[in-house]
Amino acid sequence: MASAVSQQSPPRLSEDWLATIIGLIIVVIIGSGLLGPGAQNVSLSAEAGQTTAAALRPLSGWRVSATLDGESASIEDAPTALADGQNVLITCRDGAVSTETAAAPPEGVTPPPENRAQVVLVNECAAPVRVTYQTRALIPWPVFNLFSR
Amino acid sequence: MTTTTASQATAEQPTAIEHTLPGLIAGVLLLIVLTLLVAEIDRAIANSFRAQGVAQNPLEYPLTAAVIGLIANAVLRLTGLYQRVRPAIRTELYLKIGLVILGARISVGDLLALGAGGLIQAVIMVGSVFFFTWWLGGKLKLPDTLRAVMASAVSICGASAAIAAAGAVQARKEEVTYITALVIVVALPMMVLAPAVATALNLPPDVAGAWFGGNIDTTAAVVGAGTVYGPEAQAVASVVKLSQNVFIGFVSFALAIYFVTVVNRDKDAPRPSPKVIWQRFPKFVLGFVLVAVLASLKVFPSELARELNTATQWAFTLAFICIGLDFSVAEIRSAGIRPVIVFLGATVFNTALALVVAYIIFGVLF
Repeated sequence: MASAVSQQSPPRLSEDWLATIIGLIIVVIIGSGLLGPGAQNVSLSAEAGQTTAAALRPLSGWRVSATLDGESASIEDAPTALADGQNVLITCRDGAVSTETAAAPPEGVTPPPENRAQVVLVNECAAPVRVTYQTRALIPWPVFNLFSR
Repeated sequence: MTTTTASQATAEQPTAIEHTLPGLIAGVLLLIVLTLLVAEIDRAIANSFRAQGVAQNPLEYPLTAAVIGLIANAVLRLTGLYQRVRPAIRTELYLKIGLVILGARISVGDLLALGAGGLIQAVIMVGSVFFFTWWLGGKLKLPDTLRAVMASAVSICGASAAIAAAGAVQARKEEVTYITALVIVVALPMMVLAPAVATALNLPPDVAGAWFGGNIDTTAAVVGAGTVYGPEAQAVASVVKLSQNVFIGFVSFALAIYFVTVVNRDKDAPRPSPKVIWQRFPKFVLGFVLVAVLASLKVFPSELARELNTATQWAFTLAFICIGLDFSVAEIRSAGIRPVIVFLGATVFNTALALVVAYIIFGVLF
């Protein structure tokens, strides 16, 4: 004869609760940034004679690109890893875009907020300049960005 | 006597877990591979549309996933492997997981930020078209679950709304497949016809955009029609569609309550107690609401909200592949032609009403 204990099946979680728990775990893992902050895309634009600044997350793996008057321009020595509190100064002068790391932001630009690096774009050229900093998601395709639309 | 006691059985035979675990693992791996295949095919289709000047892929991925599932279904049955992977075919589970995460796309703040014009049009369109489709479906004696799924799809935003409503009312898999296929088959010609009609009627771009946003079911086809008509039409079309999309959550929650308290209630039984309502209520809707509240409070940064959307797509793709794997021709055939008649009737109503409402709101009032 089967014992009462062996006949009892373990308590089963209903499909609704199972789906809710799994869904919420996924939301917590991704939504809290445990898998990384997601793909970043920060652009700075400056008209001739202007200076602009943007705060970026202190991450590595940045891809940096620039356009001068709408045309793709090379950007020299742009750091691909940004540290907390770092100031990156990008200057367009005589039609060339160059980069240097500064101890402090130039005059008139406030320091970066806490837990951020700062990129400052100084445009001394005669045409508008645009600099874009991008990172991919921490875990790239195929896990993320499944459908590119 | 050859009776085996339960304790002997546990010792000599594999337990349920031991029995299903290898099949579950193999099935999940197969589903992952098929999902990646769907993504590749979706990417190729999107590229071919882009080459034709259509910015977004109007053949939405659920249909591709269902077709891939259908092919896999045939192959697995031919090779005799179907039963091995059967434990991983959990359509409802994947749908419900996807719906919980979908909450991240719903934001009350976005709804309020849409502006009065888009919001008024969305309320009028979603309300009128939903109840018209529900009424017409009742006249043609469609099952209540199918009416709910169809009314949500036509009035809100096509496949996503159909999936959300199906979860809330516990609709059958075949009903979701049927409606998703109808949505896409009707949206594709509408993407081309609507801009042509708008040109013939000489509609201003904002009125035309509001009309596309109000009457075409899928977001991709709305953007496609707007693109054909011009940038202003595209912008207005997107805003109007977005304003309708945010109603998914409200309608799903209302449907869940309505089905528990009215549709699924025994007519002779007394009014269900709160305990019975709770027992019958689809609990995952609470997860959906919780995530939507967090999204409305801007808990998730925008870049992480995008990643959550990818997770929703993963879950829905798994679900639609499973729909293909579980597909029953007999079930679809048994639905007959009546759902098509109701769907086309609702689409005609939607198209005519959206034109009038878009003209009054965007052509006269704003």
